[in-house]
Amino acid sequence: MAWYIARRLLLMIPVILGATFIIYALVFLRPGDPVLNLVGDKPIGPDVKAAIEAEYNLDKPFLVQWLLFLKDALTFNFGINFSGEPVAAEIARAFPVTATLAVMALAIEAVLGIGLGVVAGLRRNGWFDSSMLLVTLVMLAIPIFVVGFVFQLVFGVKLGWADVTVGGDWTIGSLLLPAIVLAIVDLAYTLRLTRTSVAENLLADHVRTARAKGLPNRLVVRNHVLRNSLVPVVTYLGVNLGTLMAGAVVTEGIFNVPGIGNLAFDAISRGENTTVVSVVTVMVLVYALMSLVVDLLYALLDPRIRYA
Amino acid sequence: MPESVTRPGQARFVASLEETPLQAVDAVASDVVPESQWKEAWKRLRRSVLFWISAVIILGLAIVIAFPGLFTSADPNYAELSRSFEPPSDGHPFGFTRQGADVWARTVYGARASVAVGVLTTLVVVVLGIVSGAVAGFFGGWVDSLISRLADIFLAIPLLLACIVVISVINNAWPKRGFWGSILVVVLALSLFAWPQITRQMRGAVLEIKSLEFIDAASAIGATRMRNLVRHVVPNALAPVIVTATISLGVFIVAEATLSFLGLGLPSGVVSWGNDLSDAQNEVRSGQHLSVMWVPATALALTVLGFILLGEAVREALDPKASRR
Amino acid sequence: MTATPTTAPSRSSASGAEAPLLEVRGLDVAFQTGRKELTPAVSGVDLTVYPGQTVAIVGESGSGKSTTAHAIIGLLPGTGRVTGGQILFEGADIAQARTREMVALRGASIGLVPQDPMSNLNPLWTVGAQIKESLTANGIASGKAADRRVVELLEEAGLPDAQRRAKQYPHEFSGGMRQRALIAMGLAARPKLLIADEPTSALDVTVQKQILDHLDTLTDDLGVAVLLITHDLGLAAERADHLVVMYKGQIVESGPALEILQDPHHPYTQRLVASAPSLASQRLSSLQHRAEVREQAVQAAEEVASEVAADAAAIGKGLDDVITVENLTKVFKLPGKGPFNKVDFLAVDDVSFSLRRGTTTAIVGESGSGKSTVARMVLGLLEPTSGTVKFDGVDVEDIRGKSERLRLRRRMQPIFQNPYASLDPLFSIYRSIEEPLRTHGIGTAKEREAKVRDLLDKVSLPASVMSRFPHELSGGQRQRVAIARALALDPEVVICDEAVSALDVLVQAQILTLLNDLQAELGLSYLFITHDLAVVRQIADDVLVMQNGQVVEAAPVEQVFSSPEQDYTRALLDAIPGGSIPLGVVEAGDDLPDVTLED
Repeated sequence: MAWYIARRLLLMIPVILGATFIIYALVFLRPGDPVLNLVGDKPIGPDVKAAIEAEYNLDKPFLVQWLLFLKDALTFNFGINFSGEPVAAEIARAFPVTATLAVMALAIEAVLGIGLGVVAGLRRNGWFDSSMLLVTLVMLAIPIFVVGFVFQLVFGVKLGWADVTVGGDWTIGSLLLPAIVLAIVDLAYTLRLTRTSVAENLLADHVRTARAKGLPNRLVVRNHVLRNSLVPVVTYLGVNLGTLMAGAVVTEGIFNVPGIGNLAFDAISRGENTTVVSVVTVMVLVYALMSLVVDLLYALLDPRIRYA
Repeated sequence: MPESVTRPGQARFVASLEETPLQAVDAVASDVVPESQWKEAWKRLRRSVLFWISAVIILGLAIVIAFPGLFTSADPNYAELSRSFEPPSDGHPFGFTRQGADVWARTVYGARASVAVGVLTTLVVVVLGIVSGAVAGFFGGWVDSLISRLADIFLAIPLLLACIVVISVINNAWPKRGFWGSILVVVLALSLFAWPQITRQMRGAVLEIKSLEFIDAASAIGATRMRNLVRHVVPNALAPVIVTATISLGVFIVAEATLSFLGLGLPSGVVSWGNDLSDAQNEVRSGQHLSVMWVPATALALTVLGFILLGEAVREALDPKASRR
Repeated sequence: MTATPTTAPSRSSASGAEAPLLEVRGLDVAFQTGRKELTPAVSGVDLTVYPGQTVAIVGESGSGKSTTAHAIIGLLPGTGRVTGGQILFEGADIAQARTREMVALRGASIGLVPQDPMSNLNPLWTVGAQIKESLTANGIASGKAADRRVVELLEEAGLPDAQRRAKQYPHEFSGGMRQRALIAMGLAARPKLLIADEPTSALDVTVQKQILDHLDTLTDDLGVAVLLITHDLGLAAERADHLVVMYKGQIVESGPALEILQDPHHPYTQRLVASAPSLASQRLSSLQHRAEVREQAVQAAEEVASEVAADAAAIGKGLDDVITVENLTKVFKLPGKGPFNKVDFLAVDDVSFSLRRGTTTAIVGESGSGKSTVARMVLGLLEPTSGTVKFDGVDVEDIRGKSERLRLRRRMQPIFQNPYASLDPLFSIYRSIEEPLRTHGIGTAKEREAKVRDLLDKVSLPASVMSRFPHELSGGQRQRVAIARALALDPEVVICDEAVSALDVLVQAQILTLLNDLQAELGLSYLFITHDLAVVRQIADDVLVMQNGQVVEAAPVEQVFSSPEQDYTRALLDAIPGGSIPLGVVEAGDDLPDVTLED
């Protein structure tokens, strides 16, 4: 088991290195003078320029810049942004919002997706199953921002049930509507995965053996169908937390949520390279962390891996 | 060993030959019309309701793209501010946008860009994925390690953020790039981060096929590894990839719209559903003139639904045992 | 089909007042295949089981034997349902019983030991917990008492170190251990009837014997009646008092086990008895005939060799031993416990043997014996760690040139076990057989087609199958196609890796006959890999018995069967089910009923 975790951790290192390198390279390939981006329109002398370049390691070769960035990133020192605020502070402010949003979306997705998926799977090809198939297909077909606008219009503007936008002083309640919107696409996937998994497991040999033991249907489903079916679903949900955070860009934009997606989007449009790279690095780290959590969960749920 | 007394119900019984006629051992059925698996799948596909719904949608879409003039006589690029939000009138069934362009005409002409992105991205991703996945799975060793690690790395980077970064970089480097240039950029950005999914799937399928006995039989005949890979392994591993590719075609169309909505997909000069929807956001916020949004949104949703349904139908046809997964 | 008058319930009959435990009368089972279409799977089955008795249902795949068993315990798969007849358990009809009544009956009154030990345990729960479930579900014990009972039950099923084993997960068990756990589970609630559905067909023969012996004693002690479902007539006759033979969903013959075996009346039963490898005791063709075949093959090879010798690149020498294997060893590196830790696994340990031209050498062994690894090394699909494989006197490793290697490959062709995986599903039968010819650029398209037709004729398949695809043929037919493909390049040696193991008894007999005929006709030499000693007796001249990577005994086939020298060989022979049953009227070999193709 210890070796299993150690190996997962080892495999994570090249992934994190590679991913940050790609983003770093992409951002710094961007034409234009980063120093000019930084100081804006003020005219500066060559000595000031050199000083800034030295401060931001811009005078060093690209690879060295990347390594220095990584070194600082290890201590969560991401440098400062255009307005002189440390990027780490910006992220620290935005991160909890997005994390809350993503966890809420995940909860919605898990409860509804698993609940409806189990019912559909147990009554495979029944009317409920068929209507769920249709509903999930439609959910997948409509772009998330259209859903976002419609929900905003209907529940926010017309019905007044929810805040139209979230803004700086966010609360859990105000995040509910964006969380529902964010959850929709992955809810469809979770539902279908659960359904398939349950329907497949119902046909498994060991389920028939459980019935042959004289277990009532309720116990067969609980002990032998559900637990086995949930292994792939739980792992899917785990990785999904990372994707949800990264995918929040659109939802955060629509509902004006001061989260990490908005931060990244603004930074990209303003050309604040340090912020962009830092945010993506944090996202990659979250993804890597969640993959690790999923691997552990997997091992916890499936003894075949635990003892491997 | 058994006792000699025969108990009731267990006396010696021999069925009459008339009732249990003896058939030849392992006789070859003579009434079989030979059909390859692909042909059988096609037969099942033709019986599928989902397939016909998707076929109608996709065919309709193809006609719209090929002959947009059949559906509208208005010019999608022609806008007159004086007609801003003018209600529907003869020849303009859904009225006008804020800029005074014909909503219906823009939706009809917008199909081309959206579908082009979907189709081209799918092509690039499928080719990349099949080649890299097949090579990784079949040859194994360090090639496999290299490709698999690369796939891991690209999967770790969030797709949407990564595309935003890539497109914003290219925007700066190549600001004026015309219709196909713009399409190309979006295709490139999406493909760059979407290929690992197909690679992983293909690799898994190839690993499975590779271990089957007919591959060994082919090697024993004297077929080279390359011949084995191309003639036996890849064709047998394609089925699941085809399903994923069809469904991702729809997903890529949605992704393009999302990027355009963020202002980083196709430039505003290109007529596309994503751009129309992006332009429509102010109207939606105010709750007025909603046809500006719902006409392109419906077109887009229908299109995506068409491809997802096709994927589902193909999945069922290729794998009848796992009906409706 | 309630033909026999004695099937009528007559509780006051002469044999005593004991009432039957289970009576199946005129049972019909069908599967719903269309909106309103019903495909019958079982029709008119009558069956009686008395308390404590063992009754066996024997049949090939598709005979409806498992469907009958599942109908009795109310667990028909998918769309299957009972469409007619009665299932009387202790006098009450349970054919149309409600779910709740069946749940009460299952486990407590009717137990099940399923077929495949690998898939019938839930991988996520400990073995102990799964057995405990059947105690709690049937209200026998709960809590700590149940835990203690679980250990007792596992011990009873013959599992050593039961205390510790109960806390382990299924993947930590071997196949035999899992089957023991499943037996413990099936007997946990002390049912009156135990349905054993092919309980050992996935296991090695020696393990199979141990487990069946144990099951026998256990059910005798407990007085449990057993309904044994099996494809193996020998096994059924050895274990059961009463035999029911099923064919295409119907009962063709039933009665006392020995009587049926020694005097089968129905032609189908006669076929089965004649073809069952465990009961057949002779080589398919006589010794004298064998010698002639061998003589011919050597002569033919010498002729070929003398012709080829004029050629500069002579490979063929026409030696007496067509394949010589010397000190063949294969070590696999397996991942060990810790990081970067590799464990050496000696799969094949210093194996030497030779295959005489025109004869069959069989390599027999249980799973993990290394027999298939030897075959793969001989075929050149796997690199040996050390040792040599000589083909006609030439070391395979010494051949450098690509074309030379190809020529060698052509002379040695494989036939594999799994008829479902040995043909490319996307290739038509014609393309499959033609592929070797095309790969080597032999002949024009016309000549190749003629050759394919000829090959199909050789394996007794009609030319009409050419345009079909593998999934449209049965397992036996696919195996014929695989043989045709192997023969396409006119090889001298054919390596059969468990080539008949996946086939039904009658089809297996048919393929063995075909292989035997082809050997005589073409002077082929076979290397025959199998786990089944009974089959060896029918096809082989020489036998190599392998265990744990080593050859434990090598001798002519008669010697191995009449006077085995090693304990392991003796254990293998003892484990052949029904081997000791004296046969009556039908002598295998002299009166082989017609098992050849009839179209």
